[in-house]
Amino acid sequence: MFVRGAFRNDKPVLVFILMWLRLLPAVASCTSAIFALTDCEMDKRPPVLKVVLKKPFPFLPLEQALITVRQMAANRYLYGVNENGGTATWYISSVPFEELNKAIVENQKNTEKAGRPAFQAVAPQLKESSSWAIATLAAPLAAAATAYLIARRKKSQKKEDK
Amino acid sequence: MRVYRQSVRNRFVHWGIAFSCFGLMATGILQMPVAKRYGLTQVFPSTADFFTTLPWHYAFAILFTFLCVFHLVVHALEGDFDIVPQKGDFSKSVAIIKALLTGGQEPPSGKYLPEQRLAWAAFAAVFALLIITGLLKTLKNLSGIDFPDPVLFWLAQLHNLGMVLAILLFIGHMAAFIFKANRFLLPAMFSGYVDADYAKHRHSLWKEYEK
Repeated sequence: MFVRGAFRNDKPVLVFILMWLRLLPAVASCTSAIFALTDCEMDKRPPVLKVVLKKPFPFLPLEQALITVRQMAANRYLYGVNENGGTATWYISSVPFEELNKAIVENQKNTEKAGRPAFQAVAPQLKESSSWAIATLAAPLAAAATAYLIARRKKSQKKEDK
Repeated sequence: MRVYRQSVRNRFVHWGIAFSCFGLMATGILQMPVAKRYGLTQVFPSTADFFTTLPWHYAFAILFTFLCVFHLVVHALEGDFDIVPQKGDFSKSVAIIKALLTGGQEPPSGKYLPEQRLAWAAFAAVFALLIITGLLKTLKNLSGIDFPDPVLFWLAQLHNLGMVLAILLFIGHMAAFIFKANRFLLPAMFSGYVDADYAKHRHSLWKEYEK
């Protein structure tokens, strides 16, 4: 099952798209499983998906949508709440992604698709620039401290001159 | 004869802020993103990569924030408030601009012209908006820190508004030199000195030229 959140006019809304696990082979044939729905041409989409996509989407506030998604997930695996932050895209699966990833990687082996994104966990790229961010946050404090030291030095020099 | 008007420190802060401000504008616009749309990626492929331009934006932000805060704090601690707007600056600015346009007599000024003080205040307000919203956006980029969606939305809007206002202020800053009389102030930001006759004539309340 695939659930996608979206935003409209600054109000978080949720778009429900259902996708049964049996469609996974079709999805996996697209360039990326995550972006399968947008990457696949309409005529290449599995028949069930075409029908589902034509249904009207319910719109919900983000918090309420998350509660609904948790209820829908029940005893299944839910991805996207802590992963893929900021995209408001959630995935419910009866099979852990780790297992799906293993199968996809195995299938891609020795083919031109080897190494393409599948279901593996990806480290957040923003973490790479964390040191820069911390330095930016520290800049005002460093500036105030430098200014204080310079002003104090100037003051003491003036006193000495007198 | 020349009069010393801008210290090395002041000039360094001025040009440092100008340099980092342009760097922030360029790297900030690239994050919108526009590099691919306007073909910039054909020359510099990495300009379309958010995670490449972000550290550049941070680097310019470090310099910009440091110099802006340093400028405010050091002058406050030294008790140097020549550039801070004073009562009646607005009406005096109107009188000066009127005199520049009609060739009339300008009211006497101190080290800075009233419109220079007002321009400084406008830059200070816009830069404060950019720095505060920018630092909050930076904080949000750290792992484990998040703000509610409306807060993120308004931070982005105000940060973008700040950039537009900074561009408009820069245009106004440059437009000041349309008036020939103001061009005498230009050397101060390069060599530190201005013409003594000019200072005596236009900044008669600033007694520095007598030294």
